[in-house]
Amino acid sequence: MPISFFRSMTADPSTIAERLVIKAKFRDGLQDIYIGLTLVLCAAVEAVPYAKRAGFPQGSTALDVAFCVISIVLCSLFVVYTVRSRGAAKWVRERYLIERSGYVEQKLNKRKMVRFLLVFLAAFLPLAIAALFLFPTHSDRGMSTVIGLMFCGLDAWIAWFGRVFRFAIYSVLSAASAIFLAATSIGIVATLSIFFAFLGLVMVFSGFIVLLLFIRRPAEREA
Amino acid sequence: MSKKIQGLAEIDRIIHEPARLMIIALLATVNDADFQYLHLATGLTKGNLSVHLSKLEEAAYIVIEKSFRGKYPLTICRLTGQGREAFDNYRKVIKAAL
Repeated sequence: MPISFFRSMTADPSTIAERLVIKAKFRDGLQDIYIGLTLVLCAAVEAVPYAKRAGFPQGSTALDVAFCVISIVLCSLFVVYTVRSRGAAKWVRERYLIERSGYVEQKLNKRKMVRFLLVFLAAFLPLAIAALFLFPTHSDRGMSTVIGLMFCGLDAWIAWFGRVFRFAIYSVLSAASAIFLAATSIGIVATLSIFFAFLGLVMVFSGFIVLLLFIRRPAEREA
Repeated sequence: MSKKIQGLAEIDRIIHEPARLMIIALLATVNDADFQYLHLATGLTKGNLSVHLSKLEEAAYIVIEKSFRGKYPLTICRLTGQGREAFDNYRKVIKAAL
């Protein structure tokens, strides 16, 4: 029960409130679907040149142009999607879920976001540089492991700070899949593509389950 | 007794109540939120939440606006400048004392 945190005078009420807001944001599964689709789109963008090299005859200009167009379309889709999808999740909530989740206008704290990003980069950039220099012959595997661990760290933070348990599972899956893929002899592009696709599909699937369970709860009307 | 701990004696008792502290802290984190959102985020019963919101509104720490979104009645709560200042002072007093 959230009120128990507020009975302790040693806890910072703002931090606890932020925790409650994050927990509320992930309550209906829409954020999981949004993040999962982003990852799947990333995987598709990564996979295009690899699929072209691996699966199609080389030297054909028409095929080169076709894959160029597909890459541009996917990249544009990615940009538009990233910009618009946050608004789409809010629209879905306010249009269809407002009776269950209520209405909130989030505050965008840009300074806090930048600070978080800098701390995150400070934590993982040294690891990435170390992977490049300490293991020059296996830098591909090192980099893909570091990227996987970055996702692991981010998911673990959401699981801990927001008390969203399923992100602990995503965190474990991120680390395990990154380490497993790094141990294979697949190149970095294919590794990242498989990693993003796997994690993305897990999150989309999980997000839909959470959304279905959320929708099945009876809607409460204000008294 | 140090002055910082003595400051606890003059703490704002409207905010100091745990349920109202939770409501004010939540409203300080967002721009505005409706009754249903606060009910789900805080875990308070509707009656309890209603009573605490009334007390905060009487103290002019929050404003409550009633409107509709389609057929759905919205009771939007927003922290006032006075409420934000009171919350910031409360946090300073607690931090200093502890």
